[in-house]
Amino acid sequence: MNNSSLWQDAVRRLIQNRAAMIGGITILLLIILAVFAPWIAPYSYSYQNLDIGASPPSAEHLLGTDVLGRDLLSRLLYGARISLLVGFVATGVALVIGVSWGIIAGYFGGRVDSIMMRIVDVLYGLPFIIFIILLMVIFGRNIWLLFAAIGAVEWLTMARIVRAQVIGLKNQEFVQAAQVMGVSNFSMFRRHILPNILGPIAVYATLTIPQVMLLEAFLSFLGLGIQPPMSSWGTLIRYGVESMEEHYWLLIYPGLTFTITLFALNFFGDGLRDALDPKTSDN
Amino acid sequence: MLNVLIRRILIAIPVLIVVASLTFFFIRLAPGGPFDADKVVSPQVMKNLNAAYNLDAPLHEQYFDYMSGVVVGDFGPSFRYPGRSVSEMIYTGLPITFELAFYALMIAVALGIFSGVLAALKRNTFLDYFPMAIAMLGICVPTFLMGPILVLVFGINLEVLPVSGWDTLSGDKLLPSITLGFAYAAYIARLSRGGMLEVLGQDFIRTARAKGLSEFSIVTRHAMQGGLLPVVSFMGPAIAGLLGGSFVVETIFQIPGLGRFYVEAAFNRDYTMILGTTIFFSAMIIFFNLLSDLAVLLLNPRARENL
Repeated sequence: MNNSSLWQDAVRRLIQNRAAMIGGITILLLIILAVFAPWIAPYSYSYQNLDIGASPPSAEHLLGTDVLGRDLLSRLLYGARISLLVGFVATGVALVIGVSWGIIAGYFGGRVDSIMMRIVDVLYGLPFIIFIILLMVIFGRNIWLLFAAIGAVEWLTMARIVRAQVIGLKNQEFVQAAQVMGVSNFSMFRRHILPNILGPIAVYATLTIPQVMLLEAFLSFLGLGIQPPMSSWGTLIRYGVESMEEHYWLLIYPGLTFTITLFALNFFGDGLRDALDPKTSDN
Repeated sequence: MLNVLIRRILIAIPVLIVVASLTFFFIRLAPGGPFDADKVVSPQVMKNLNAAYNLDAPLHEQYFDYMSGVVVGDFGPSFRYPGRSVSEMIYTGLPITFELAFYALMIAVALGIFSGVLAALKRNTFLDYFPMAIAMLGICVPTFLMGPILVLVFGINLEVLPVSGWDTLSGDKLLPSITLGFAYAAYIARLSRGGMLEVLGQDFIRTARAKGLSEFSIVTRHAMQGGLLPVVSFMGPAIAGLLGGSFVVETIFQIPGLGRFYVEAAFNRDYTMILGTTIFFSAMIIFFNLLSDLAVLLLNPRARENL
């Protein structure tokens, strides 16, 4: 008899996966840097030194400065706060909507299920990027609205995954036993269903974060996302592109930071999936 | 088969009507009128402007006027460019965007399927790891970074390709198409590798091998039909994504396509233009999703049974 639980097994497999661990550590490091940005950053994100203008990397400004003489390293650190915040908050929004939607559709089945999933099918076929742009145009470029709008777009796949899992669970004996004992729907979801589908939810959530960050950066790049003087990585890349011919560092460093973060998140998510579901790892 | 087609079209029509109506009323929620940003004009001029664009009619009347125009392809006048209609702008931008998306898709499909199938056949060798590492790069390096980097390298440093424009200099279509296609090549490579691996392990492939078929015809005639199904169902979303990507690529390379018009309209608050393109894009995306679902049904007998 083997004593280790599903989660212990998963953690062991995850630790053995080098790419996933490097990804995980990178993310952890980034989160720490983002949280402590005000103490770590050598300058304020809005501090301008117009005398030096755009200067290449040097001892005072490790990654150089932008056209207004603002320290790039500091702006990257503060940008990390916004970019990661968007990633986590919008994924959280998507998680709450998607999981509730999927559990309700899967658990009740029948009419409710077919209506709810038909709605998901229809929404899937719509050009969401356009709607987000539309929302930003109409309601102004508000950062919280941006979180909500992105989250409201990304929940669809989550709802599908959760529904499929719940349908598999609801015919198992322990769920039926709980039903017979008269457990209320809410505590059924909370105590019996949710703990059993945490794995797929965790995996999909990890893989949603990079998608959300891409979407935010995409909008910021077009100038429809985060507005100055605040900076996300997307806005920094936008400015970098504008002046890349003379000031290459303004494009290279933000681009590199963003790409490494996406790499780390994707590797960690893939590793988590393999760890929780060894079946998929042979593909 | 015909049933599915009819049912899907019957769903698509009300969806489009809802999208169009929601967008119409959403736009009215926007603060300020379309002419507020212009220099201050006298109340009389404002009144005439509103009358000229039918903005003084009751809302429901404006709505029915607009919708009956949309049915025949008339999206009304542009608020920002007097004398030009939204339909006219859509029809000038569309061929360019389509051409760009077509080249990008060709690059994505050719490159993606080739490297994906190769990776699956040469599993756990260099020919598997190397293309898959590049594919990961394609997924993690966003279009808006890939484009400028390509411009920097090939346009500015090596000076071999034009940095912007469309159909003005020779070779100016190359960089935008690669930029847009690369990310999708990466997705398609991953999908076709996964699909092929699944199929290659199955009994009918072993049977084909036992029959003494050549490896080439096993792969092309037996394995690919099933193994590439995920790629076919990805086509619908991919085309939707290509349109979104065209916003970025057309902005970077200054291509006068529909995507750039849309982004410009969003900046200028050209409400009729936003409204018209939103409805138009939605219709196109619904149409392409329909096509890709039908293609899956045609290719996969098992999906047909589950209807």
